Amino acid sequence: MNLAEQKVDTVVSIKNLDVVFNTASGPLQAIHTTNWSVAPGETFVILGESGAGKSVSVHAVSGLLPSTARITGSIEFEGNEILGADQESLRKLRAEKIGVIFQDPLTSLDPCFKVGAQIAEIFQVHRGMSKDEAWNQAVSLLDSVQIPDPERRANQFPHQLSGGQRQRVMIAMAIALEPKLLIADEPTTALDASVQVAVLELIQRLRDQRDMAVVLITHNIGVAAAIADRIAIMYAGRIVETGTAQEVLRSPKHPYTQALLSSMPRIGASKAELLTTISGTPPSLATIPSGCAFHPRCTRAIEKCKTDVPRLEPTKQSVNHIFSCHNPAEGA
Amino acid sequence: MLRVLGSRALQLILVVLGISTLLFFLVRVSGDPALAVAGSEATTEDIEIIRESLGLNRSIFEQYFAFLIKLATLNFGDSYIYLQPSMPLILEALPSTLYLSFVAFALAMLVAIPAGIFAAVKRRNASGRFILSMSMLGQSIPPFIIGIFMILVFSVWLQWLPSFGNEQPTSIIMPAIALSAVLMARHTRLVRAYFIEEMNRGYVRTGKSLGFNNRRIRFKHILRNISVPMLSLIGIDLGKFVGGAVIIEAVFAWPGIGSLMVNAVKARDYPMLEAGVFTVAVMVVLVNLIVDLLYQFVDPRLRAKVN
Repeated sequence: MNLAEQKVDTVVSIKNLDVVFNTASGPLQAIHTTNWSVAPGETFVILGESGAGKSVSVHAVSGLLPSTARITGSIEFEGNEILGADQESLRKLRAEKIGVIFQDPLTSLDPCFKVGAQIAEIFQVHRGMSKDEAWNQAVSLLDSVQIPDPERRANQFPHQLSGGQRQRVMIAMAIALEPKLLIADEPTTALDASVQVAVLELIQRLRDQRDMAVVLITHNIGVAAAIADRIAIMYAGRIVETGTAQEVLRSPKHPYTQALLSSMPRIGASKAELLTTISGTPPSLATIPSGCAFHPRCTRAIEKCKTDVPRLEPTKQSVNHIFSCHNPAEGA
Repeated sequence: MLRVLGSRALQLILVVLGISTLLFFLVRVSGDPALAVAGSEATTEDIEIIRESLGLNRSIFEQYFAFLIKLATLNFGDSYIYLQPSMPLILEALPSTLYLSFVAFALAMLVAIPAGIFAAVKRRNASGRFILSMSMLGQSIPPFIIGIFMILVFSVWLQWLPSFGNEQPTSIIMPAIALSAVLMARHTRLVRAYFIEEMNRGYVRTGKSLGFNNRRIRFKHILRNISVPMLSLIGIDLGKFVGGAVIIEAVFAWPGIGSLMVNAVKARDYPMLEAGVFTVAVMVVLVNLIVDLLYQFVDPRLRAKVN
C-alpha cells in the first residue's frame, strides 16, 4: 500500500491499541482494542468519565505513560509506525510534532522560572537560538496566544498569572515548534467557566491557522459540543460510540451515551423534568464487569450483555457513526 | 527589605539575651567555680578569697545585673584559667572554627547533592539502595566515634594524617570528614526524597512532552526546585552543626572556640563560657538571617510578596 497516498489526510491513527499497566497486584488493562484517527485541521474529542481510559489512549501517542505501561497494537504518525521505534528518534518526533496541554497549568509550569524563559528554553534547545533570539520569539508567541502586554508577562513567574493566562502560556509552549498534533488533556477543567470558552476558541483558532489536528480529552459534554468535529465516547477502557459531533450528540445510540446526555441540565426544561442520573459508579480497572462493561448500570441490559462484549457496528443512517450495543433502543 | 532586617536585628538581640540568661543560671547551678580555680590543695579561706575576687559571694541578682552590663559592653571579664579577657580569646579562635565548619559544610553538600540525585534516579537499583543504606548508617554513628575511628586508622595505624591541631595543611581532613558525616548522610537522604517527589511534578511531565532530555530536566529544573526546601533545612542544620563542631574540635584538639568552650566547661570558667556561647548564638542567628534572605532569592513566590 502506498503510504503517502493513503495517509495524507491522517496525522495520527491508532489501531487495535491495548495498554496494560504492570502493577504490584498484577496486570491491569486500561485500554482494550481501541481505534481512532485524526486529520489535519480536525478536532477529535474523547469524552468519558474519569477512569474511562481517555488519557491513557492519547498519552500512548504522546509518550507520557509511565514505564510500567505495556502498549500493543499500532500507532501510526503521518503514516509511519512509531510503536517500538527507538527512544531517541521518538523523543525528537514528539518534541517537534506533538504538542501537549495539561489540565492544571499551574503545576505544569516550572514555578522557579519566568514564563518567558520557559518558552524561550524550547527555542534554545530545539532551534539552537541564542538566549535573546529565543526570548524575542517567546514574547511574540505570547502575543499570538492573545496574552496582553506580552513583554511584561514574559518577565513574570507562573504564580503571577491568572489561570487562563497560565493555560495560554501552556498552549504557547505546546505550539512553539508548530506541531502537527495538539493533545489537550482536559484543558479547561481547572479554569473558570468564563475563561473556558476563550481558551477553547483560542485552540480552535490556532488549529485553523496552523492546520493542526487536535485531540481533546474531556468529561464535559458542553466542551465537547463547543469544539468537536468528531466525538468518541469511552467507557471502561473501550470506545462505545463514535461519530461526528452532530451524530453522537443529536442522535446518541448507545444507552451510556444517551444516559450521559440526559444527565446534562437543559436551559428551558420544566421543573417537572428532573435531571436523570446514571445509577452506580464507573468501574475501576481492576473490576471491569464481564461482557458489556456498562451492563450493571444499563436499563436496557439483557442476558447476552453479561457474557458477550458487543462489537462496534455502524448505525443504519451512517457508516461513520459506530456504536456497540446488543440491545439498542428503537431507531438505532 | 529594611523592615525585614529591622525585625531580624530585634530577633538577634532577643535570642542572644535569652540564651545568655539561660546559660548564666545553668552554670551557676552546676557547681562552684572557685573550687575548680583554687585546686585540690586550697584551704577554705583561699576559696573564700577567690569567691570574693570573682564576685561570686554577691547575690544572684547582683551577679545577673553585672552579667547584663558585661553582655551589653561585650566584655565578659577575664578568663579564670587564662587570666586574660575572654572575648578576645574567643574571637582569636573563631576563624579556625569557621574554617573547619565551612570546609565540613561544603564537603557535606558536594557529596550529598550528587549522591542524593543518584540515589533518587537509581532508586530501584542496587546502587541507589546502597547509597540510601550508607546514608542511614552515616546518620546513626555519632561524629566523635567516626573521629576516633579515623584517628586510630589514619594516624595511629597508617600514620598518614596528623591526629591533632591545625598546623599542617592536611590537619583539616579528618576533623572536616568527621564533622560533615551526619550532615552529609542526612542531606543525601533529603535530596533523594525531595528529588523523587519532584520527579512526579507536572513541570517534569511538561519538560518530557517538550522533548527535553533527562539531564536538562534533572539538573536545570528539578535541582532548582528542590533548592527551595533544601535551603530552609540547611538553615536549621547549620545551628546543630555548631554543636557538632564543639565535640569534633575537642576530639582533634582543633584550636577553635569549641576546644576553648570544652575546657571552660571543665574548669567552670564562666567568663570564657559566656563569651563563647554569646559568639555561637550570634553566629547561628546570623546564619539563619542569611538563609532567610537567600530564601527570598531562591523562591520567586516569596520574592513577589516582599516587593
